[in-house]
Amino acid sequence: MASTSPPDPNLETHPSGAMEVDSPVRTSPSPGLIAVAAAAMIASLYAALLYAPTDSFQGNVQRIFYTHVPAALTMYVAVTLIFFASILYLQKRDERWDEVGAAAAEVGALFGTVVMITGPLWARPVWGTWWTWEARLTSTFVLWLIFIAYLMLRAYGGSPEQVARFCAVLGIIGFLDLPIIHFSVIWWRTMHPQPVIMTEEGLGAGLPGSMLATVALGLVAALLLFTVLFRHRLRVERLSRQLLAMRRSLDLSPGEDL
Amino acid sequence: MWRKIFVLVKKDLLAEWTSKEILSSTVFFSVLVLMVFNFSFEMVTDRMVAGPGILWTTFLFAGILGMNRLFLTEREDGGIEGLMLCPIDRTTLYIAKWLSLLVILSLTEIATLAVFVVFFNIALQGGLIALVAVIVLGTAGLAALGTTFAAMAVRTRTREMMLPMLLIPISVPLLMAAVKCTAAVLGGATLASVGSWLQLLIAFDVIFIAVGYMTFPTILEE
Repeated sequence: MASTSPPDPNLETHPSGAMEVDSPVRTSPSPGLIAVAAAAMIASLYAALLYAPTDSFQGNVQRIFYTHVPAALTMYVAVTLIFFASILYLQKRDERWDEVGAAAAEVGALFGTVVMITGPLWARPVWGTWWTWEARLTSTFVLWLIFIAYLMLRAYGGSPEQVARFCAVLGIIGFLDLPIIHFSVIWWRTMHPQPVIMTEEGLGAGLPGSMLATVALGLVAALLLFTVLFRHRLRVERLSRQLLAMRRSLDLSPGEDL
Repeated sequence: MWRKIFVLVKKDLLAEWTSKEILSSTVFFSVLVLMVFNFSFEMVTDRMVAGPGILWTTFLFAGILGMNRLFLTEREDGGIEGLMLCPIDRTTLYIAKWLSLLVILSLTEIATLAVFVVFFNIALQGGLIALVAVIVLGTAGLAALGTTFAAMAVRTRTREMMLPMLLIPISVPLLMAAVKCTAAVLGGATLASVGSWLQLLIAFDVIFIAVGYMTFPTILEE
């Protein structure tokens, strides 16, 4: 059960019905997964704070890199997950794909917020400014805004079925917008440190081995944490929908004995 | 299909022609926004620095007003139900609404541009055709997203409040490209000097007209 791959909703199939009270447990993360994620987080913290060498130019503040970059990459994983869940929802009209979108958006927005907080904290001592309209800052910020817009649409979109359709459309539009945003902000102006993980010389050539290992571990930990939170959120989403369905069925037939 | 589109667009424009409800408010609002910007940027001596950005911000704000209006009217008077009962593809309806919006926004922008030239003392140095091309390309993309998002927004609980929250983040690259192209044209450069921005603008239009066309039936389901 300690699977680290993104959960496939098809494996957790159960038709939404008012009486399926005990089955949703299957969407929640297994204790094994939680343990692995916790171990990875602790190991990542150790590596980031103690194992990785101190950056010769930036000093200790550079260690925020090991939180910042994995969180950013995880946010992009979330937006990709939303994109595919949106397409599958519109194709199959299966409510479970909408649940995946809802859960991925909330947890993705959380990781986005981590990026938006750690970024200025790192930029201030290194660049001497909290914020600059530089390419990758701007594109990450715009993506974060799209996440927030998506959550707003979920909150105020109307009936659950309408919310599912509208959010799927926004999920597709938002994802297709990413490459366009990417090019536009790069052409606008740029100052961010050039990519050091993937350079023209090859994967990881721009970083010392120990730093690369630390950021890789950070990424594994972030993805595991994402999986745990995503599964919890998915379970809550499913339970709350079943509760809603139960309430509805009770309202429709008030005399019924439950 | 093109006949149906023509009839639908004609219907929207006739309704607007009799009431002038949208254009009167968007044009007046544009003048107000330009006046506010004029005070805000009074200390900027070189008006060309802020000019293109001011122009497109005004287009965007007035556009949001117009998009909401076009779809709210349809919704309030039950017009959309009537249209959906007609033997018309919902995708055809998208093209028609996009064209109606394109015409209404363009008319607003012509008026805005005239006021802008006067207020900001702009000399249109022969680049008028290039400027019109940039404005049409930018407006086509805004209208493509606007048709999708306004149709969604008027059906949500927050109504017209939802549109700017959906539209603005997604149209960031479009605004950047439009501002860069406009700045080049107003500065006397050729469009070829901003070729990559022009390509981005066209790509944006093509992608979101296609997505809007494909997803419009989904939005109109009841």
